[in-house]
Amino acid sequence: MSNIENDGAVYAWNPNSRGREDAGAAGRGALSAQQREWQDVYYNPELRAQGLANDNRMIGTKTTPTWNMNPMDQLAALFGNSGFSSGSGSGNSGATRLGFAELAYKKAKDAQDRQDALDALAYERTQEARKLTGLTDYYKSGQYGQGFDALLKMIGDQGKVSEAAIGDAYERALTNLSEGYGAAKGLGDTGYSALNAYLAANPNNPYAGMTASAGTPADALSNYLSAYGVSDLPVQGQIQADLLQTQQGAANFQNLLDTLSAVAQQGAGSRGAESQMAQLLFNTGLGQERAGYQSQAENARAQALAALQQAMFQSRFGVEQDRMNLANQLAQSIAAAGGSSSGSGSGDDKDKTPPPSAAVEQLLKEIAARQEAGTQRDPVQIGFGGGGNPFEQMMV
Amino acid sequence: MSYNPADYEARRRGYTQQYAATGAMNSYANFLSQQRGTRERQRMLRQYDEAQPKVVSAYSRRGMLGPNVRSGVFARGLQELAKQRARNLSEFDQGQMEQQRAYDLGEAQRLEAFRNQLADMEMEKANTIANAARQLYQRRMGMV
Repeated sequence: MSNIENDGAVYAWNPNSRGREDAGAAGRGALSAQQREWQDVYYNPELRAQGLANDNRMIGTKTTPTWNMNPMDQLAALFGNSGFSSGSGSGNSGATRLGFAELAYKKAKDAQDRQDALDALAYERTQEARKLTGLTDYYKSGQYGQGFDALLKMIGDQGKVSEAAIGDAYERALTNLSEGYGAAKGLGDTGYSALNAYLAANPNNPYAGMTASAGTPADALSNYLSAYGVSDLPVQGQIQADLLQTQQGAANFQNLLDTLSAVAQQGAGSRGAESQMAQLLFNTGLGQERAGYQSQAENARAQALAALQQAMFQSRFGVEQDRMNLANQLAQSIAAAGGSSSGSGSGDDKDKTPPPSAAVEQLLKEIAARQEAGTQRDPVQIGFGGGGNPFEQMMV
Repeated sequence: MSYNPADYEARRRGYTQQYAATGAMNSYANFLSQQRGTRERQRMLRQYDEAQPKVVSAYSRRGMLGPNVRSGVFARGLQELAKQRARNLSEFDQGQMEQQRAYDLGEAQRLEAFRNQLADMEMEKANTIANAARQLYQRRMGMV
């Protein structure tokens, strides 16, 4: 038994037919999704009674001649074998058939567009799912941090190099400081050694070798006096008195020389002490300068190390900040794609299907609206009458 | 303050030249003075030598000196001549000696001053070398 009835020019489907009932769920299940959609949407007895809906009784029936026809074959069937003839009064003129053919083409085109959109949506969803999985794995595995770790290692290595360079510069400064001190001290000591040698070789005491002599006493003319029998005693007395006076003068002069000599010796001793004091002052001042320079070098090293540490900290801070920013961006991207950045590894997130993009959603909406508008408008526009509807044959 | 050995050598030559020139002048003056003193002393001795016979002759003419005549007046007169001669020579010699001592003392003081100049210069040179060493050290340390 079949639920198909031949209603003149077209085949009609009787849902109350025994054959259809026999088909039951198995018969409906044999229909494709598209066929079921046509049955659910376009079979409306009320609209059909008013002539506003298509008779889709032929949908899903295996007896439909054009069931498996492509649109071109359906057009050929319409123009050659459908029973539409001009002048019959039933609306099956050539223009009508052409309208139905156009409508059938549009329906097929819409179906193809929808299928293409669905395929694109599926492809895009697959791509986005892969992207989400990749992002999640990239985030949870920590691979995104490898570059930052390398940067941190570079910063640490460079810091060690810079620290060693600072230490070398400090050691060079100390060496230069010590060598400069040694050279300066040697030069100064040489100068004072030459001075001491000169002072030792040239003692300034010209009075040391001077002596005050009394001179030779005058002749007493003793022989001359004795020749006349005259005593020379009074003359000798006079000579002795003069000699005594001369000796006193010589003693005074010797005292003066001794005084001058003592003063000269004191002057030489003072000069020697002055030389020693000057040398001591020189060495002390030089030592103080060396201590000051050493302190400056130590301060410079401390400042350089502090600046280096600050620079390294800032660099590390920047790298860590960039790492955090990237992690946040990745987490936001994963969340925006419908995934979760918490948990471990790629688990359920891989199975999650991300929402379709706005462009695909808009395209689907446009296709659905166009199908809806075309389904309700085209039969009216083509003057679909109460007779058989060849559109049903083309749509199945 | 930079150290230049040529400056000190020039000063040393100047000091030495000045000391030597002054010393030569003083020495020549001293030589002339000694010559003058020697001549003066010889003239003095010659005068006394010439005066002695005249004094004896005068006492002889007055009968105070002759064979078996020994006048006390003649003896005192002759002793007074000898004493005067000795005193004058002693005073002259003392004057010459004091003049020589003054010359020697002056030369000694001039030598002391000359050596002080050289010692002061050597002290200044040593201090200059020390200051130059400190400045070189400061320049080496980049502090100047």
